[in-house]
Amino acid sequence: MLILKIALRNLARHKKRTIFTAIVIAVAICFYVFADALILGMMDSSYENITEYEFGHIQLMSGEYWEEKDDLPLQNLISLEEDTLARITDRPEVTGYAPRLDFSAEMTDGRDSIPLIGRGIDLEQEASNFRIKDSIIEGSYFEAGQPEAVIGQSLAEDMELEVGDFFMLIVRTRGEAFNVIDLIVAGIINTPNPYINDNVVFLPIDLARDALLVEGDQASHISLKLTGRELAADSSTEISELLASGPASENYQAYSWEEGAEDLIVMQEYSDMVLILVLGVILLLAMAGIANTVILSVIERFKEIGMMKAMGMKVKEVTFLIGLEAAGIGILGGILGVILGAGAVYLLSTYGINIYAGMEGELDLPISMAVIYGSWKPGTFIFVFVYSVVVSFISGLMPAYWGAKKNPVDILHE
Amino acid sequence: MPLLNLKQVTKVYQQGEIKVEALRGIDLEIEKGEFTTVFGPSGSGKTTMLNLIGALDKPTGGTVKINGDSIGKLNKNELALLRRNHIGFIFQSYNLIPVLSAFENISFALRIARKNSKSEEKEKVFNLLKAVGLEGLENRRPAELSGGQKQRVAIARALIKEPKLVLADEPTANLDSDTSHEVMKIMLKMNKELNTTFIFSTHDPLVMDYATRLLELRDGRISKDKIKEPATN
Repeated sequence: MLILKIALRNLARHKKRTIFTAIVIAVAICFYVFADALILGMMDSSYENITEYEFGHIQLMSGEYWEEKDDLPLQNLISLEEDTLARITDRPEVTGYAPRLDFSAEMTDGRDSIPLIGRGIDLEQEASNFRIKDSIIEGSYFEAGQPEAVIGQSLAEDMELEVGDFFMLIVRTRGEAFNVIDLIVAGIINTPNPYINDNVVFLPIDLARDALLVEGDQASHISLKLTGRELAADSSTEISELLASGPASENYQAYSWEEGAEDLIVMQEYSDMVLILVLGVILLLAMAGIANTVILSVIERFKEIGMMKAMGMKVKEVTFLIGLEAAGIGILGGILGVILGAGAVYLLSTYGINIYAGMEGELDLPISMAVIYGSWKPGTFIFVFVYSVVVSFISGLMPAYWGAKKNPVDILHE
Repeated sequence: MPLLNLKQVTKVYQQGEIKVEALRGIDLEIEKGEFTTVFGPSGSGKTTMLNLIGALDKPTGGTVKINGDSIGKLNKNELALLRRNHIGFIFQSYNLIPVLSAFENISFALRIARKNSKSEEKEKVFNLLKAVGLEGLENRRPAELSGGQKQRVAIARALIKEPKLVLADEPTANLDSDTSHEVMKIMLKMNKELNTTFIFSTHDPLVMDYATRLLELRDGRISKDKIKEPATN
């Protein structure tokens, strides 16, 4: 196509100008894909923290408990019949389950005290399906029937506790009476989830039930693990329907991890919006550069434009031809940016980055404090490339139209 | 029916508060196949008249008819189509597209006119390059051609779409006399072979020598209209 040839050759004719403008676009694209990969990596890591250390993929609990879950009530607990539980755990996507009993407590060693969350866990189910056991850095996982606990490293440091030390948990029972649980530190854990490290004490669920006067096999919730976290939304809907077939008074429901991590997901969406906004601003600046490049090109080629119009080209055809050059800059910048961005994301995904160095414990969010590794998202590369080409084309149209509208009589006889 | 018919054509330009009457009532008929020169002092209205004949501009008053159609009724797109299909232009400064080769400059005119297939286009362009004496130079860009060669490319570009009319504004102004003769001979040859009407705007007596009709413009009016034999056949 001859028009394309003219556009490409004109770009090559003014190499420095073309390359400089393309570099601006490339930098914007590189920044965007890098930041996107970083945020995606952070979010992936954070979601993993939530699903592997806290929530699981789905939690089963009563609707009333869900409404008040932040208060850690001991009312409206869940207790499923065996066959109901079996119907749930037999589903192909469900790989395991673990009941938990969460409660408010105050940890004290007789001198210092600190409010925290106590979590009674089924030792075997928890070890099979979640990573608390894998996160032990000192001591060991507790044994069934023993008054032992596993605590986070930050908590241990704050309370100056070591493996084998005694401590007490002051709790309120279901009847609102105070009670004390005497425990020995069996193991110290360090997870990528600072929330767990700072705020949670793990102990055998039977011990917790006895101390809190919770009867039978009741639990705050039952966490389910699935084959993949992307299945949680659909699976929870179906499990909720299954649970709804039980007695109405129980009002048990299944909640996906996304419902439990709403704040984090909103944060990601907000980050995505901010990122697009920043990209928009940077590309706006690039647009000014592109428009300037096109204006210079048009001024230099007035006679050429006049000749094209004398030969019978319409204004829109001339505009399109010049606009193609602007799109060409966008394509060049886009390709450069994608290559640079891919390199940056490769480094990020291979070596990672510790952006929270020195901030451990200061953020009370389940954001991973570990080294962040970038995540690849091919859609981002495609989106930002197309976006830059379109923006470049549009930014070239105005000056192109201005040039194309010039009266050929005036410019041919200057 | 004459190819061109101008009746009481006037053209007035507004320059600030001043009105400039570039043409003051031109009556003119030009037949198909004529080889006409328009001459006159600077400011006489030659370029303005050529712009109107070439459908680059519209008259303020009167009518300009090309092949029976009045250009006054046409909008900008229709004027562009008229130029695309029926009118070729040759300028003093050639106005070739610098990033295209000689071949591509000529075929670009054909692409705009969308008259032929690619294979037909290739054959036509090569034939015309040969006719204007540029065989072998088709891949050279304008920067690699002499002034005379560039003007020949411009001539070929103007003729490739087989227009009814070619307008040449000072086509020899940047050429030496030998080259000017070569260029004029080619245009005369094309005029005879294709029966294309040529109208030249010029100060160059050499161009006038080749013409068969001389139109003198003074102060926006035709002061002389003379048929003559060309000095060189």
